[in-house]
Amino acid sequence: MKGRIDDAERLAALLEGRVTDGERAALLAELARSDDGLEILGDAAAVTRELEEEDRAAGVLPIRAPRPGARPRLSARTGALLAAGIAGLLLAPLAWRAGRIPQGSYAMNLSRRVAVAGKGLPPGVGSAPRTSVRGADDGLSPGARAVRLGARQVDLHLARIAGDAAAAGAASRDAARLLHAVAGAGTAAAVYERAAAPAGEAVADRDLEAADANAERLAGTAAVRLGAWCEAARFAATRRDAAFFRDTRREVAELAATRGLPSGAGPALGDLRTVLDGGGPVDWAGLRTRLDVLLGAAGG
Amino acid sequence: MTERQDCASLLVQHLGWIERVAASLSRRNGLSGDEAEDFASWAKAKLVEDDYAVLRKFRGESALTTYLTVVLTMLYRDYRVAQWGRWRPSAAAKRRGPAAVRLETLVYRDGYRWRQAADLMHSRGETDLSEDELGKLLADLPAGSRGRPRQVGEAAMAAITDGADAEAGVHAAEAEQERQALGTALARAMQGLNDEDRAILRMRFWQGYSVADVARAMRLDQKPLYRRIDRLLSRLRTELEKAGISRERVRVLTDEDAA
Repeated sequence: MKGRIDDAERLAALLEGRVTDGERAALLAELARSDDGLEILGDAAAVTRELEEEDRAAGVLPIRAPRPGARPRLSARTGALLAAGIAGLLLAPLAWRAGRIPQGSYAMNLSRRVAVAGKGLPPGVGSAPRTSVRGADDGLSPGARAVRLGARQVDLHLARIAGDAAAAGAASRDAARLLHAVAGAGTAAAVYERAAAPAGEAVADRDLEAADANAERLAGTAAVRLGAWCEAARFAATRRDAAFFRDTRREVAELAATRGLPSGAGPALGDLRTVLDGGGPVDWAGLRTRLDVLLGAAGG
Repeated sequence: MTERQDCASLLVQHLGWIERVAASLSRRNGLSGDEAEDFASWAKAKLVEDDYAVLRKFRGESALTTYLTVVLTMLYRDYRVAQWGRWRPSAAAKRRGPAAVRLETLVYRDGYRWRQAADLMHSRGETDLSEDELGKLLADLPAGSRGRPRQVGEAAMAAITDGADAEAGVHAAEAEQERQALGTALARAMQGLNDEDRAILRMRFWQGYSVADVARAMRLDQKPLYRRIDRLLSRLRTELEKAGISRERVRVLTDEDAA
């Protein structure tokens, strides 16, 4: 077995639908001639499916991955226009419901993206660079508080996905404390407090989604999202998940262009974007350090 | 943190996943408990080998878990070849599930008589099927070992008769001729398909993967894939009949495959 299909990572990318149409065609041309290659691809697919079914049966949320068959076939521009048109047509009658039904908070969606189904809590949850929350009179700036809040939202959702009640409780408690100094955030704080209680896992995801969204709006969307992205990115860097950084590139650019971020965030975010946009092999340990610096600088 | 420590830490973080993948591969390929443990240990040693070369090669183009799954699948293939040569479970056994694969492995790879194999599977809790059901299952599988030649004793040699009479020889020659004609016609018919269609048919029928697994492997929607496979089979039937393969033979062949 020689060629592209000898490269485990190319086959893994094919399995995840992370190859271009041209790359896919080239891989299939080789696979169509190779029993060994097809066997490896088939076994890997079968094993992945089996383990996902086990996880589903155990109640572990699946990672959001591209839907089978949803390979990009249109140019980005055509696809975006078409998708916007279709979405507009389909969603217009339902738009009135949007205010009542949370569609998944930013922190929750990021957490699903970096979580690994069936695995324990990602390393680093609740660890440096900011391990504790100092409470309402902690002297944090509103921006730094919002950044920490976003990071703890991600910690909370990752811990819930992993079924780690202790870590989820700690993250939820921190989120509630951070919100105590935010005007009008009592309702959201109460949801986090409820989730921090011993039976906190009983709090429905949709309640937490609503709390996340309210907390984000009241504490400052850009800063909360920066904190959430940084925290998710730290886990992604630990796992060397280049796809996470590729897929969220635009979000980072939009965040960087947003006013209202804590003053310490600017230089660290600029430095990080230079590294991410640089191309070439990724220095994962260096990237993780930069993310720690960014989170530390923005979170006060 | 040095790259070496980084890789060691990554490996430890993913150890649970690695063990689950190794266990699943072992189940799918009919390995016994001891063999499965042996494979898992061997595979983990391979991941550490050469200063975690496998992890250092990872470029981040997929999730690390998916990468590790493919790597372990490749390692399993190497392990199997080292242990048992080219032996592999048949497509028919794979289609019938882990019990069929295990039974076939015990009988055709390890040389057990089928009653011994059934006893072994029952004593190890590897199946709930009765002895009769296992017997029927084995009868549905293609006979014969595809493995590395094994040394046999004089008793086994004595059991082989020299009775290849003339009539049997003629039948064998005709069967071989028909098999070759079918193989040539099938290869020609397959050449008329595009790469994706060929890969789909080979995975489904030559290698015995379920439609769900083929869909997953090729990133295709499962539901339309059933209809697509039906259309491809129908096209193959037409091509084979055009090539002079009897309708009956084609029907038997494609029905066997679809079973």
